[in-house]
Amino acid sequence: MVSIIIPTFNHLEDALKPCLKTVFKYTTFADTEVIIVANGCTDGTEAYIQSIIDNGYGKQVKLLSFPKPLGFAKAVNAGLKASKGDYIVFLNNDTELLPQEQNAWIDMLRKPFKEDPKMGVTGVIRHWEVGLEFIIFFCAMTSREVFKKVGLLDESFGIGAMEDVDFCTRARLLGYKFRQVPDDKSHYWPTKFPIIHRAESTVHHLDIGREGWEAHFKGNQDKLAEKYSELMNTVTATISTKDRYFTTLPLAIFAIANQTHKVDKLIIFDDGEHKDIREIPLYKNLIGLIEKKGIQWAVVWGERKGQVANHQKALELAKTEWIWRLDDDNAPEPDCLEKLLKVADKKTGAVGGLVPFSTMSTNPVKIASNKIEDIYLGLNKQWFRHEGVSEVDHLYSTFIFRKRAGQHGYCKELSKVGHREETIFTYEMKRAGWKLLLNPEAVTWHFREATGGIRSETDHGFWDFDEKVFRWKMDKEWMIKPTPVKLIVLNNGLGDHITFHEILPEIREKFKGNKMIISCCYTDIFKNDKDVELISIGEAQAMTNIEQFNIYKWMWDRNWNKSIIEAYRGMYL
Amino acid sequence: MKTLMISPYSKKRPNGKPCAKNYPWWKELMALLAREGIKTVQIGIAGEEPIGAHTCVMDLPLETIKKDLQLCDGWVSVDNFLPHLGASLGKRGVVIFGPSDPIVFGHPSNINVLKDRKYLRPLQFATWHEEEMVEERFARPEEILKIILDYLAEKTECLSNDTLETGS
Repeated sequence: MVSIIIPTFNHLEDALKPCLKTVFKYTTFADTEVIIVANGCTDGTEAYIQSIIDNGYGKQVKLLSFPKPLGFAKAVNAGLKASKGDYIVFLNNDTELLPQEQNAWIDMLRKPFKEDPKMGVTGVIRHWEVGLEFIIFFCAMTSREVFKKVGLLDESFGIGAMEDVDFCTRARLLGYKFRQVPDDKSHYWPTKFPIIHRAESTVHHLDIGREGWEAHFKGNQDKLAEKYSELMNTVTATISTKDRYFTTLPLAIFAIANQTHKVDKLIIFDDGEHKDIREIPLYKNLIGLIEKKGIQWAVVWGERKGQVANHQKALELAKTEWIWRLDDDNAPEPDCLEKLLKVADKKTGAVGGLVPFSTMSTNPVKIASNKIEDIYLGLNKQWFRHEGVSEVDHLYSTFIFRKRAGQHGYCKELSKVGHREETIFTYEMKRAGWKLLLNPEAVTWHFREATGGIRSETDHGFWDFDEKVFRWKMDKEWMIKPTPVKLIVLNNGLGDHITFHEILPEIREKFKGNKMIISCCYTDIFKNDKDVELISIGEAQAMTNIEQFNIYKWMWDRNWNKSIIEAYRGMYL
Repeated sequence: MKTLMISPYSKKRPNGKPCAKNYPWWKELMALLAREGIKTVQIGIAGEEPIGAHTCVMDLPLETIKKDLQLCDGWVSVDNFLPHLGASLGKRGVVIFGPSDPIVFGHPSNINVLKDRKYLRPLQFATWHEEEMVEERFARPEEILKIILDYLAEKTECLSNDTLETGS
């Protein structure tokens, strides 16, 4: 026997009547019952159902009537308790069955149970919420056997949302499976299942308004995330790439495949030649490896709109709790993902690690900062070795983030090079209340490859444009005043340092309020200048092209015939 | 007895040849100064060759050099760090120039000795690795000695162009 449970809260005319009409039309009632759980209805729903019962459907239709709204889970549970079927169908009142063979919809839902004793839930749409896979309960079936073991829906989810994810997760933890019917390939509309769902939330009591509903929905997401935090470390790795098929991209893929914490899915966004990598011997091997590791994979041929568009698409396609974004010249160490995940708690929106350049010094740099106001310092903490997990304002290059934390999306105003895209994306996360962490134990090497790359544009205008967008956001939207920095580089002899020191008071006066940073070879010269931040030449190289500070080149270029101290004045004042 | 701090550039280049900025006749000059009863203290960095001064100390901390400089009666150097240090401390000294231009690299407060501007190297801002030592670019030790003695006797005034050209 099959029990169809339909919770309903008003909407008799626009929802329940059309729904029931098609249910009666396309269902064989020899062995089926319909249980209408009317809760808080004030529009004559009960009278209508009673009239159906009175007209000869007393065996097939049951009415459970509650004067006040119960919320979805409680209403469904009332139906479950009253049901007798070996199979139970959850059906929303805002659905309508489409023309079909008699009972085809029930047969489709029930077929997997006949084929697989471990089948737990079947339904029209298999989906993900906070990284947990589930069947949406607007039209779904479970068996009495499963229901007896899994239990009722969790009524603490209140008026609705997430109780289906919770039920499916509990079923999965008991070893049950889910299946989307009639085929399990597409997770999106249009489904081949003969039904339409208006998804107008007509089963919920919605006096709380849209904002209240959104807050409730998010609250239930958080509740779910907390309840299943152990299961939530599902990860989709995404790589945005362009024409690096035979340089750094294979290294990135290999590194992802060999993580100690397995990624669930790898999505590659190809903005380059759109080669079919399945035909390339190297990639045949890599794909074989990925598949042997049990990692799903997909290649998306991008529209060549650049970095931001690809990352945005990744955000939309990934269904896991975490998204691990990588560039095509990143090679994470095998335990990188494990270490990124290890430090995250439920308030953590994103976690980054070290992203050192393999060709540059990674020595600690004490002034490196990921505070947003220090952005123009140009020294990212993620480049340099240091100890301890820290909370930061923004992250760079590669990091993991919760899909929920990234729901604001990437900054669409940026050009296709996407300069500052990760800074904006992660800082917006921080502004939304998520914690951003940096775990320096998680290392991703950055291989600088001269050719290809998602940002391989030659027009510097793109970067200038993006910088303007970024400055605008800082100034107008975030109200952040960046710390002005005066950088001085003395990559020369002791005498040059001593000479330069003569004009330091003039520089100090002119750039009052700036953070003064001196990169030099002889730090003794500045040991009494307490307002100056001293860094090494290597650190300055990490910040900028230091050749611009070569005083000898500066003089040479100008056929200089005055003193070197005047040259320093010319350069810095 | 007067004491002079001496700062040559006597470390050989990687190819084993002398640095083009170094004074080629330090030993002769040290001998002349000794004959005048002047004590000389050579300072420098590890790897520099002794030039015949009474004392030779290497790798002194900058602070020590600053203190010692104040204790000395004067100093003599080529175009290296010491002229800049002396100028910054207000301690005048004698700088023996050769191929580098004292207008650019000298300080007006020092006694900048240049044989002739015609010996300046054409590319003043190039590196020194490839520059060959040319002895004739420098004033002879006897002339330098005279300048040093006048300097110690506080007879030498800075010239208007800040450079004392020996013209020899």
